[in-house]
Amino acid sequence: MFLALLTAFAVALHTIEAGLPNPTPWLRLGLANIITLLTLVIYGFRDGLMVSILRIVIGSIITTGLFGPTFFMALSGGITSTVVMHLGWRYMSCFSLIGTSIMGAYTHSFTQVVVAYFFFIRHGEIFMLLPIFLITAVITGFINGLATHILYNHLIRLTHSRP
Amino acid sequence: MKEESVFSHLTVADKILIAALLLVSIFSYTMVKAGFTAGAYASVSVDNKEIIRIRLDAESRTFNFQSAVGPVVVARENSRVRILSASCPNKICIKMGWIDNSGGMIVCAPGKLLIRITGEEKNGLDALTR
Repeated sequence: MFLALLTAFAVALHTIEAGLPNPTPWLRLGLANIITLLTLVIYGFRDGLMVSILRIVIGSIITTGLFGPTFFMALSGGITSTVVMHLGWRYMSCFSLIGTSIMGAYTHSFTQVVVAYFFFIRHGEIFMLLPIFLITAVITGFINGLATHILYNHLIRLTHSRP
Repeated sequence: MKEESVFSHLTVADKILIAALLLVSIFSYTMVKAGFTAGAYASVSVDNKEIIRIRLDAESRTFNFQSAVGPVVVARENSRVRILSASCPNKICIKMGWIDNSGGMIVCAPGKLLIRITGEEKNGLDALTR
C-alpha cells in the first residue's frame, strides 16, 4: 500500500524539519504538508486525512510528547487545513496545486493561533503574531505547493497516466 | 531544459488568492494594533499630581500645560505621545522621543513631569508553551 509509504515520507519530513535549527518558534516550513496534499489529490479526502493525522500523531510521538499543547494545535491545524485543501482542490478548479497549498498553509497557521488562544494563552496579544504567521504561511504554502506540483507532474510522467 | 520562472505555474486565481491573503494579513495587523490601543492612555503628572490623561487612540493634536519650570507641549500622533517643547534647560525629555502602548515613560526632572502609559495595558505574553 502506497499510503504507508507516503505516511512514512511525511513523518520523515516532519521529523527532519523539527531537527533543523530554527531561531523562530512556530515559524515552520511544514514540509510534510507536501505529502498531505499529494495524497489528497491522488487518493482523495479520506486517505489524505488519514495520512495527515497519522503523520501528526507519529511525528508528535517522535519529536515532542504526545498530547502536549503542540500536539493539539498541530492536529487542529492539520485537520482543518486538509479539509480546506480538499475542498479547494475538488470544488475550485481554478486554483493550481500551489494555490491549494497556500490555502492549506494559511488555514493551518490561522487555526493554530486560534486554538492557542482559546486553550492555552488567553491573552489577546497572541493575535499580534498573526500577521507574521500568515505571511509566512503564504510563502511556505507557495514553496510546498511548488514541490507538490513538481512531484505530481513527475509521477504522471513516470506512470504515463493520472495516478 | 526549458527555462521558466517558478511563478509561471500559478493560475490567475492563485495570484488573486495570494494578493488577497497578504492584504488580509496586513489588515489584521492594523486591526489588532487598534484593538490594543483602545482604552490605553498616557497619564501626565506634574509634581506627582495627575493633571491630564491623553487617550492614545484619537486624532493627532497637541496639548499645552504647565510643568514646574514652565509651559510644556505634548503631541499625540499615531497612538503615541512625545514632548514637543519644554521649558527645562537640557531638553532631555524631548530627546526621549515617543512612548506608545508598549510601555515606557518620559521624565522631565526639573519640570517634575512624568508621562506614563496606563489604562488597558497589554504588554506581551505572560506565558509561552512550545
